[in-house]
Amino acid sequence: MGVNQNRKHRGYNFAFLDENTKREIRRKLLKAVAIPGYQVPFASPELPIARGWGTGGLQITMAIIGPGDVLKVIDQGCDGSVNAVNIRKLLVKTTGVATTFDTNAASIIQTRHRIPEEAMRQDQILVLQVPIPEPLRYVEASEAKTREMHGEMDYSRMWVYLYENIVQYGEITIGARYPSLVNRRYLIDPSPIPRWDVPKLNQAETLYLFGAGREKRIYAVPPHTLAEPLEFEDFRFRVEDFTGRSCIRCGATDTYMNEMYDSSSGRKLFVCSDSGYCDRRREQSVTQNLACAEPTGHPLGRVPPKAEALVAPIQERSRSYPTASKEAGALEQVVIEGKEAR
Amino acid sequence: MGYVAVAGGEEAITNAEALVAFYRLKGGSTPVQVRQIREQMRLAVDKVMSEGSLYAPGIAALALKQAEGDGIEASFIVRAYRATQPRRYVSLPVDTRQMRVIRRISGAFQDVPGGQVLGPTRDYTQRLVDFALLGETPELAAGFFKKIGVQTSRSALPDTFPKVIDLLRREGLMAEPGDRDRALSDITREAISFPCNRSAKLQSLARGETGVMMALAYSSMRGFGDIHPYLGELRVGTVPLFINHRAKKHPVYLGPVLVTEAEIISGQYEDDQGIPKLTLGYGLCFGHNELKAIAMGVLDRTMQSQAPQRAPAEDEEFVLYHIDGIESSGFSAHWKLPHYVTFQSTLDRLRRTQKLKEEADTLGREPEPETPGL
Amino acid sequence: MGTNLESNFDQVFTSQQIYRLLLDAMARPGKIVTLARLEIDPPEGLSWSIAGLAFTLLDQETTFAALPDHESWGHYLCLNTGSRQAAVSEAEFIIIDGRVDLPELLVVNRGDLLFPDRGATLMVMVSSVGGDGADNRLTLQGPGIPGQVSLTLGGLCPGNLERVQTLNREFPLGVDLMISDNRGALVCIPRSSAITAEVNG
Repeated sequence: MGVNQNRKHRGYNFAFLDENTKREIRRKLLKAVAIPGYQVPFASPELPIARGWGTGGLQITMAIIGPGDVLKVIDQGCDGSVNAVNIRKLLVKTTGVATTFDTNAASIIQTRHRIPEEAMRQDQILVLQVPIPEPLRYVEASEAKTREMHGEMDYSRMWVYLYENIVQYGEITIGARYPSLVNRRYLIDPSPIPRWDVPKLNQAETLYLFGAGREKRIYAVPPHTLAEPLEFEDFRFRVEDFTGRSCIRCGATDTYMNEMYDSSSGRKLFVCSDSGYCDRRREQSVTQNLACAEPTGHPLGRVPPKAEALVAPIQERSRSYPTASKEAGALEQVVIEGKEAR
Repeated sequence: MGYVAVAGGEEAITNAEALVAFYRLKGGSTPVQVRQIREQMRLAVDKVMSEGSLYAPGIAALALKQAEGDGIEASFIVRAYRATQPRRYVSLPVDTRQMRVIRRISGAFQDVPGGQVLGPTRDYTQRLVDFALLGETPELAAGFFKKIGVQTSRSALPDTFPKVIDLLRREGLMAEPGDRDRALSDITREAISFPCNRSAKLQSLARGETGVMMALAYSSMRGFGDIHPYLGELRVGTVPLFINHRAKKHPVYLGPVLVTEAEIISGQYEDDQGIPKLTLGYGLCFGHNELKAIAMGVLDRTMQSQAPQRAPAEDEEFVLYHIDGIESSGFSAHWKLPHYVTFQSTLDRLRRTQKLKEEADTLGREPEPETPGL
Repeated sequence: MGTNLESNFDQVFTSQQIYRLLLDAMARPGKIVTLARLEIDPPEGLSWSIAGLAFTLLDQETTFAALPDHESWGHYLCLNTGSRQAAVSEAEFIIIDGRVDLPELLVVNRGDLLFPDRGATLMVMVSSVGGDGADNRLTLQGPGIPGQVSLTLGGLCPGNLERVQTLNREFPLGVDLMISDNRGALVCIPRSSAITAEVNG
């Protein structure tokens, strides 16, 4: 794919999108922020990345990013996942921005399915990739009808759905994509983040932007805004249960973990889903022996990690991430055209 | 530790790209020339232009080569390329009455003014494997041209043909399009919303994927719906494209565009005055793609249905949200991406509900949750 | 003056910088951000900061209206953005001199329940954003604001503020404000903010 590596060839614009497309996304983003949780339709032209593979998030990132930004891209919490690498490559190729795996060092984080474990700040923006922006799809297939339901704030069928869930299974069975009410007005699909991450949307310091490319919708949860998962008084919203589990790499007991089976022993193992956080904790535990990273504390107040967990056998995961500096170095050969294609 | 899916992302991607190129060339034959694809895989190129929504035969042929003949992949490449192109002008409306036809037939009438022109079609050839093509050489092709040269005569065809539906229209048999049909939108600049105006519908159909459009149209013809289509007219040919240019007094001619047009006539329907009329379903797509044009015409008509119980092909949301090959292929393929975070969440819920069930069974009764307070 | 095509505005990088400030301001109502001075030459009465916002957001796909109606503003913005002028009740962007009493404000489009995002964006010029000597003291509450925040504006006609409050009475219908002074101070008040006004003197 010839993303402007040759000055003689007609280059692509800074951040790939033409300025008209960026402006439209920018206008729609402002409306999304002004009406928290409301899904704003946008044109969403095709990108060289397939629909359903993060084109909504990409378009938002491309519309807001500037040369001074520091970018982090994650998929399932992991910086090294092939899809994250692919998206980061496209953004770096067309903008030349610096990249990082460290949540604290990033100014823009684009993510699929996770919100980083470490609390984000007000000078950062989290861009979430969304496959299905409509929370009411659980109960209504028609877009015309769900739009009306949002207009009238008629969420009764969603409540009934949850109620029937409880009657049938004794519990609300929604895993990820947990419907949440923003600013006591609009119901959103928070994208397929686990329930673990849902409380992080509530009264946050950070601006959350959601992009659904294939479905052509943008929405936002501004900072300091109520974002409440639907729950009943007697059937509370609950995050995933990792009681008694600890990460085999860093020993954390207060993070969202992936379970996997060890190929030789068949034993079930748990590892942090947020690879950047896990790496940092490991580095710190190596340099400071038993000291562990400052526990940021889950919003629901889970227990801080136990020191003895860190002495548990730590197995190395085979990783060969591209380093941030290596990627930045490769940029020098890349032409960044700062002029609009006319 | 065996789990390496997250490792070495960049290297894996680079290797995958190299492997793709390797598999394309490993047979060792002469690399296919784009011109050969453009000329000899004409219908595949046309389909890619139509579904990729860009009239650029060279780019479409190149995309087909790059995609090893995968039509949806090639259309995606073309569509993504299209999205980066500046849009300097909007063409003037094209009157397909001006079409220079290479093929033109009507299924509704035995004969029509201007006559039926069979043109290049496989409709009446037997679908036998043509083993003779195995030994095709440039010399044989040249010999073929010598033979066919005497049979074609440009002057035998009139420049333009009158339209079949114009005859019906003159007789007052056709329903006229309403005002809502006249609103123009641009689906590449504004997401469609429902109810959808006709121009947005036709634009969506024109870039739809042939296979899925055919299947939906077929469902309606077969019985899921109440549409009984006639092919009023099917035309294949070139239309001239013009633009207005600031510096020029008269419209500027850009060149010819090959299109296929289908006009589907369907049964009775009462117009505003309650007079029974015939209705028109319209299909037009880039290139020579008769099945797509017919399916488009049928779907344009099915979506006008006033029936209270809509069949799938009559539901505009159902049709328009599912015919785009780029969108449906992208989302269908995205399940190949890792989903272990969400799957973990699903497992958490499953284990919890299993546990609740077991507990309830031990107590010898079904789970009876208290009535949740709304 | 002010009728020329501006060649000093970088469509790519300057508009990106302005946009990020704007996004931050819209996400945090009441927060004052400062635009870097632009070397442009808008017509009499139109501030460089408002023109910069217009250059950032307007193009041939948008419509705008100027209040009060200044022919020179319309011409300048059409020429430099490609945006088209429309009636006040239909325009997506309204360029406003907030110091002038503008009863027409009440007809501005607030969107509808199906598409509240169609509610207009108001770009409002005032004498000063922030600072002590201002004659309008507002309190804002709502999304983006921890608790509540105070904001002072100089030179905003009280009648206009009341009209905005009227327009934004039925959330999610309403209009969103970008307010700026001639020094580049910018503050946003989206429709989600509840405004309590306290007019001095």
